[in-house]
Amino acid sequence: MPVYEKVMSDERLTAEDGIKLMESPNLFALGALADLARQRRVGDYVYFNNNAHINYSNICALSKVCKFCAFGKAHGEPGGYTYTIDQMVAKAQAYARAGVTEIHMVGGLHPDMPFSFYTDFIRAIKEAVPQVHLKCFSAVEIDYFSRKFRMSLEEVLLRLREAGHGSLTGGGAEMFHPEVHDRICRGKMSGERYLEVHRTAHRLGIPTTCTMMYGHVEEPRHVVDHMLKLRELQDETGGENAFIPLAFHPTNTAMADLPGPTGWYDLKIIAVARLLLDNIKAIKSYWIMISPRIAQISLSFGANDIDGTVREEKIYHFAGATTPMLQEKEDLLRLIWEAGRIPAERDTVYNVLKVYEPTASAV
Amino acid sequence: MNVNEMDCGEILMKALAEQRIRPDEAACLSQRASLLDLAAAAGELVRRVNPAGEVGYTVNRTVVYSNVCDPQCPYCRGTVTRDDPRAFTLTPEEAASRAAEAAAQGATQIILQGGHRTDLPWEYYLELVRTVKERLPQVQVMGFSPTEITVLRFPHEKSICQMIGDLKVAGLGAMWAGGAPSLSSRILEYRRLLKGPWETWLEVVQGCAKHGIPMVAPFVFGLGETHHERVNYLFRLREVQAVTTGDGAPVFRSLAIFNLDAGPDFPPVSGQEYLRMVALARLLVPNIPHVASSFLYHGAKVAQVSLDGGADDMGGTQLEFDRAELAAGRVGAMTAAEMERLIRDAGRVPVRRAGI
Repeated sequence: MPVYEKVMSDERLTAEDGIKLMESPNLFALGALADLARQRRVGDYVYFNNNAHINYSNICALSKVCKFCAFGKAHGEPGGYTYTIDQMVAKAQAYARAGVTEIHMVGGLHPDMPFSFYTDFIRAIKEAVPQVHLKCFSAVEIDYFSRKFRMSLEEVLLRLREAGHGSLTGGGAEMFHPEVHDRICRGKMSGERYLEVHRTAHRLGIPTTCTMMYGHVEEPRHVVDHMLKLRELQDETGGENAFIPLAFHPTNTAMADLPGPTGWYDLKIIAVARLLLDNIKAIKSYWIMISPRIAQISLSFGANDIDGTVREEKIYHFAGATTPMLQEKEDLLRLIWEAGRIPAERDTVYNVLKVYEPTASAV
Repeated sequence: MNVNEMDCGEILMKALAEQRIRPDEAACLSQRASLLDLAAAAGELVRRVNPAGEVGYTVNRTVVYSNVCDPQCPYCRGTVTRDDPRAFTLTPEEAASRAAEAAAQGATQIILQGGHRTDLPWEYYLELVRTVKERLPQVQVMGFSPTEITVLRFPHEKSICQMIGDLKVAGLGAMWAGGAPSLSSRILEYRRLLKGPWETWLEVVQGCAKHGIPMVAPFVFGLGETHHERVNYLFRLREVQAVTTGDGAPVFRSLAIFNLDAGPDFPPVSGQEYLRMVALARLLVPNIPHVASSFLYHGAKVAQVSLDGGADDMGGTQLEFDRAELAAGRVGAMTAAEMERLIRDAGRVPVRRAGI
């Protein structure tokens, strides 16, 4: 059955369909299919939130392992930093005053810090800004804590939750297929383990988002494999709030000789994700990485989330991202209206806080 | 009929059936058609006329011979008045040296561009072209625009056609059909030396056609114009192209779509709007053979995406820009290799053109 008919009859696409879509030379037809799926499944809202990032440390035991990373530093290497709890609390308070509803915290795998460092900073921040949701750590950090501090995944997650942790970030998935994983981060936590961490979190009622890093050495079949593994997990648990494709930024990384993904490929990934991931509601176009312009265009290619008024993002900016660190809310709203869609400010778990109908002057 | 009551889908079907679209229907597309619909229709038209999927580009550089500009239009940034300490004017030899640097990097086209001023002798312009062309006989010298010719004519008392003939003899190979005709009457008020110039503009275009100087027609938008003003401009290009096609090739070789960083008085043009205008240009002006997108304002990513939505040319590498937005956070000079990667990645076939 052709893909168009499958989309119209809400039939699930196969891996073969996915590869065919990835190889299509007709970008806007692919966009039209994805847009159709988006309209049928999730409507016209484009979600954004008011959030801030705190990257608590860049010291990372994997700093020589992940070839796509320009952020991590080995212990003792110049440029390494770890915030004190007081510094983190001060930042969190400043962000809370600016009205953020979520603080997104990830960092390197620090070789020396005790587990209490993490629970202490979560507890201190949560006490200082109780209204703010703390979306902290990726599966890679959770796996690391579990191995380093000899606790089960459940125990790690429960102790973090007890300290005030709200949900997990989606980072660390990279690309699941071993052929790609071995080339870009041999020795890092496997794709199976990533899925296991997410499965465990979902079982405990802790929501997550999920990601895929693209635009380096992968082929279409690896992209499709990755998405279908996430689709399978989502069938089982329903705990993934959003899928966020992460564009590889080559600058300052060990793979700086690669050119990085084109706009064409960014949009193709968004569209194929919308079409294959029929059970994940939000497909997020992270404007920090692909530029506000491509993010806006991606709203016609299946995306329905544009991240937020991100503050102080470091990981992509170490990798040479040239996008601004803060997108003003007015700019974000105009960008969404101009794409013919309705901005909806959300909280971390996609409750709608406010809908912004277009004003006459904006269209 | 009221634009809000029209059916964009029907109008696009008309365009695909190669029937004439009325101005009110065109304004409806400009105002209301979605990016996906416009781009799909425009992409289909390109596939019909260019089934091999060839996409042209040129390795070129713009040499700004002077940044002095008398009109000082408020949307234009980067030019200064004659008495400004930053004012400069290159000698023909200096311009030729810059052109030679670019030619050493592979440029086959040099664009001479400068502000509009009335204080330089006509001989300066001829000498500029002559010196570059003598130094680099293999490159195409593209330069000036109808507005400059219009401004220059008054002190120099030559007919427009004679002036173009002089430039041709000096070595001019192509001209940018920029300036006056664009867009709104409100904006024309800002074009202080250029009021009411449609006829003069047309005279320059006809002069170029007569002397066999091909032109690139620009479509500049985002300066506060209405949808009707946009489509009227595109319709005019279509008419002029039909009229001036004489014995040889049509005068406009391509239609270049771009907007400028026009300053705080004009809201920024979004990526969606840029792609919509690429598609609209292809649909409304099917008799200009190529539609060129530009990476200068929106970056290489957006320009590349336009290749499935009406564009089949990537313009020039513009080697003078050493910090173009390339891909995924990368900035640098746009090179021939990067152009070819972008075109191939879009499933198209790169064709390197020596000039227009």
